[in-house]
Amino acid sequence: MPDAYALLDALFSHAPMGLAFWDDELRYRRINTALAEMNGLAPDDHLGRTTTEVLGPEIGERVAETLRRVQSTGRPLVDVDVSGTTPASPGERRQWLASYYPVPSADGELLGVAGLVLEVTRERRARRAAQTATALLDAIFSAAPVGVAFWDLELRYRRLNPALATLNGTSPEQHLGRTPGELLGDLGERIEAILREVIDSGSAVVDRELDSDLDGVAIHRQLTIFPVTGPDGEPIGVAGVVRDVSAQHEAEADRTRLLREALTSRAQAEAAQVRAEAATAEAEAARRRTEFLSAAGARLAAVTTDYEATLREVARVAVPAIADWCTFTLAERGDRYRTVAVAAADPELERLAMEMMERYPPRADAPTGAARAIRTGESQLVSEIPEDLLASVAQDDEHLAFLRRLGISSGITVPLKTRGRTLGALTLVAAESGRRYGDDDLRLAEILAARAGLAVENARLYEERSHIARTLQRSLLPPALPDVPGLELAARYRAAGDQNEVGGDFYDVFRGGDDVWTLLIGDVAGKGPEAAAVTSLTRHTLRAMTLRGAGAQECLELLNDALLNEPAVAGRFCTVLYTRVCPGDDGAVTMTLATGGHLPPRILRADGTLERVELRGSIVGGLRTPAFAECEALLRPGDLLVLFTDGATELRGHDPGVGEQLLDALLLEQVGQPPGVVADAIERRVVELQGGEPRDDIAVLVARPPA
Amino acid sequence: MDARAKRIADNESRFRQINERLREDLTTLPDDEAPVEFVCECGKIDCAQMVRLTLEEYEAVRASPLDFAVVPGHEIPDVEDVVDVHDRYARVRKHPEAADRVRAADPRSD
Repeated sequence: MPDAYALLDALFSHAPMGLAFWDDELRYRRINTALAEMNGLAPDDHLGRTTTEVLGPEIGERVAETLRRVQSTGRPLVDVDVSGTTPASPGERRQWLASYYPVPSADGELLGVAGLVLEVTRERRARRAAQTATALLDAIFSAAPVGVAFWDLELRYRRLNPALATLNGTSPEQHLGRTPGELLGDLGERIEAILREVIDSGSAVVDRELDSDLDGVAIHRQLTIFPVTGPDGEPIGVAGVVRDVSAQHEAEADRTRLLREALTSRAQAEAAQVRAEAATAEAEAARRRTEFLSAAGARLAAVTTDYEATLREVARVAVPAIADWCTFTLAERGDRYRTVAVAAADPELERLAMEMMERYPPRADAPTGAARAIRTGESQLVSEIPEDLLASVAQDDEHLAFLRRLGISSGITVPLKTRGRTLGALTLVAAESGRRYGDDDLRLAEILAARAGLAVENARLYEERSHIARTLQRSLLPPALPDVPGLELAARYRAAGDQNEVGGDFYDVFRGGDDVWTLLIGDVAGKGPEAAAVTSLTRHTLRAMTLRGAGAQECLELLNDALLNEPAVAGRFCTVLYTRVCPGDDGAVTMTLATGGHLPPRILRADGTLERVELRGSIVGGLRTPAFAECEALLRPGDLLVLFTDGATELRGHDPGVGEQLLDALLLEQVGQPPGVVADAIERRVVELQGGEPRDDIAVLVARPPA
Repeated sequence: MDARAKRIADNESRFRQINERLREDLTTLPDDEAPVEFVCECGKIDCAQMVRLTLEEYEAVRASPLDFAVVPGHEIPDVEDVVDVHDRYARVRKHPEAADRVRAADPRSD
């Protein structure tokens, strides 16, 4: 048996687990060092003491209870978990796995209980940690909002979470054991390529994006894949996080679309601004052209006969509005051209241009410029005038020097055409302003030239018509009053208006026989050639009838017939005052007067008395059966006979009677004045009363026997 | 070159500048092969239309400082030639008399 004790001692001493033996009072009788160290006391400090006394109430009482159960049942208790704190490490909760066995004596009497204790604190902790990690991993896999998966080295899904399964459109179970390619087709093969890349490189792939289509809906995935190694450092697979970034892509696409739209809108707004500015500039240019044409047109519309002065005004308006200098050149007989207007924005430039025009007037055969426009009737626009063109048109070196000094850079020449004829040319030149003429400018110049041409033509026609009217008018009046023995005479005639029409008033003085003279004054209705025809017929009929000895009344009757029977003057009539005078030897003048609807003459006696010679008679040429009458009157020396037409009593805005009253008042101021003075006074007063522009012709004939 | 041709050339150049700014800003956005709405670069004063080109097409037009992209039908034959016409746009080239003017105004000619 000694060997048995020795073996027991050796076991107690060297066993890697705790061993103890409790006696029938459950006090330590033997304990090995391993268990004593677990308890934190020396082996000897255990002996004779109970577990509660050694280990404290928490563990000691539970071990004692277990020991009592083994003692009472006689059966062992195996793998009993014991946990708590011991004096070996106060505050540290430790765990043990203990087995307790009854120890009987040879006769079967229970001697005590043996215990075998193995500390499992570390293993239990490791197991709990592993369990916790697994639970955490499971929780993460399950709850993660992103897809998570683990693939083995054959790229088969070994683990994945529901989120990834949902993203792939099938259940988690369908994934396990299958590769992405087997499960997802083309998309899966692209995923496999990334997995292989990670396995081959041993490095992670971060945020790699893959696009796919699931039932027509674009899916954008973002993958982060990393290698997974085992505890030994050897690769065991790859794991990855797969995120569905479709919403972000859509948001990004929306943002991009909005930004594009914003940029496009900005561009549209900028373009609209450009076009608005262009439209404004165009409108401004049009406004300037209209203003210019309006100003030029106003001057051209006012032209009467002095069109050259008007052209000079228009040229003045043209600079600097549309040109740096402007000229008007008119064609004259014999292929000669005369520049009638030169205007420049710069006075020095104008002086220079005028000097050049005088020294180098346009030549008929000039290849360009005004001469060409007049010769061909065509406009010419030269937007940019090069040096060689200047040289080609220069007549000599000095002319070329002029052209260079003028700085000509662009030009337009336009013919002044009207009724198929070319009257002249307008030239617009750009110089120091640097402007370049274009089609718009050419059109403007053509409008201006057309108006100027028309104005020139109208002025010439007006002048021509006025000349004819004046000539005709002169033919209808006596060129000079005859010398009538015993009678002083004066006459005044003033045509109304622009004097381009033959007036309807007339007067005449002619010899009617021996010592007999006839004084006529009359007014034909209307103006112009028809009125002139009536005037002519009236004068010559009365002259002829007088010479044939007809009396005053008879003359008017014959004139009435003549007017009514002459088709050329049909419908025309006139008023006539026919006065036959016979100066006597005593200085007095006997008069026979007959009127055809004319205003009564006045006799201003030398004593200052004014008489109105009342006569009645029909208008001549108005009635088939007119009524004319005649009367006698006597002029004594110094008496004035005043014959006049209604123009002498015309007073705008007043009754004709007022005009006659004013005339009478004027005559009363003329007592003692000679006929010429009286006639002048009447004309002057009428002109004054009508603001300098009488509306009607005025004819006045004054006679006086010398005092 | 007359004032009208000058005005047209200047307007077209200004529209090109606007489109160049648009193009530059588009580079800050993700690439997109879809056509982009650019301002019609025609010289018509009353045009308010946009012309759609992909960036590649736009760059092809910009390769020449004399070329402009306009809505088909917005060509002005007396001041420019039609280089080619596509469904969405026409490419026009300024006549030689306007060449210096539009070249000088081209932002890419700096």
